[in-house]
Amino acid sequence: MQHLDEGTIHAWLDGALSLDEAAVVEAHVAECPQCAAAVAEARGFIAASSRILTALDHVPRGVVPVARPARWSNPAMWRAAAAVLVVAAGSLVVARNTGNRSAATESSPTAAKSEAVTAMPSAPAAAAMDSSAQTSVAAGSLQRNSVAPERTTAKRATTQVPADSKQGLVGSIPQIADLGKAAPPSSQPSIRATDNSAAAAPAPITAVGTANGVTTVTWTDAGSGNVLKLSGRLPLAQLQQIKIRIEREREAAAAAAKKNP
Amino acid sequence: VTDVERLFRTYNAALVRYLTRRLGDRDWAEEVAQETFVRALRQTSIQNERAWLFAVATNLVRDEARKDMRRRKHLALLAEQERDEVVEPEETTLERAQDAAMARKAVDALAERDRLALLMREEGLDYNEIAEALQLSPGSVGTTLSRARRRLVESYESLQKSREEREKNAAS
Repeated sequence: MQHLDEGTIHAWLDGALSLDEAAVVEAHVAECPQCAAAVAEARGFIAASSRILTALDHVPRGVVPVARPARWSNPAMWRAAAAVLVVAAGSLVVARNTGNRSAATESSPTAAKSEAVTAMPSAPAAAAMDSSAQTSVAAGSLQRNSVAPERTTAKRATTQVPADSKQGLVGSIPQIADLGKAAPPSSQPSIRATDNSAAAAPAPITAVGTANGVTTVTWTDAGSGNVLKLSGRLPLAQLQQIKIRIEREREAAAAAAKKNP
Repeated sequence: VTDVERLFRTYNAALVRYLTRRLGDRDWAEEVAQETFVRALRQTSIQNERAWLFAVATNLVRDEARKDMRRRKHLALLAEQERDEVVEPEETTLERAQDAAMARKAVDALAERDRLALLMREEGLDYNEIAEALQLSPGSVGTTLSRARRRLVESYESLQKSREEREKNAAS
């Protein structure tokens, strides 16, 4: 009998031969040292190739990243963050004291009587709002936190700031959300100012200060005689414009209150 | 209707291993395996389940390779990941990775038909199943396998030898 070919040896070792064929191979291998050696070699190849192929199973999982942690990878997130920063930088805080004291520096035990005014008609925020006067007025609406603490702004101020120093501090960021869907001016809590005079001319600015890039203008409210402060990271000219708008707003509110007490 | 859940339970592990060895990528392998079972779902009856599944999986891989798109994407992701995080592997992992790389090289050096036949055999397919999946004559499977095994082992050993020589040279 001629020697076994390699394919037959592998088929035999793989159990792929019929019983008859297997018997013939077995008989030959028992008698032929050459084929016995070939069988031994084939066994070695079978075992070795199995072992080599097993090494292929050590493929690190996730060679293809399934999903990267969302760390600022979304451009929209950056845009949103930028908007918040811009509006935060442009937000203004107006504080009024019942007396002639400085709101930002002094702590007042008369917090209940204090009035925090948020103004947000700054230029960077304009994108978020309609630039018409009506919307600006709505956005720049003034509120007493003693009167309307239900607004997020007022709540923020109350929770973040110790009670004795909360005047003048307004969390401006939550305000942004409100601005986007600002209600018509009529629904805004309007100021019930006590002053009767409808001063037509803007009140003179009594003091201008700049610290850490924040400009503050101070003036005396014509109607009430209270000292008002307006601060923001804005040029003085812009602050003045905002101040005028605030005054107009207060005048209008005062007039409305007079008409409809 | 084919009971796909049973098919999945019976053959998924072997199919994924086969595909992982074929593709060198576990995630890709799982994707192809899933697609294979989806195809099985559409069949009213399958005569030889194992041969059918391996044949379909093999064809899916072939189709994908033809498109080449997935591979490019994969490479791009790999490159990106490498830039992002270069993690020094542990010693054992490194050795293992070297073994895997050599095995990969040796397997890739095989002719496609030899490679597939060998990988299928490793998953327990018998000669008739391999013949059916690869459209070979049953009588040639033994020859195909013996050639594949010999070449695989020989090229792996020569890779091993050259690595040892490189290490010897680096040491001296």
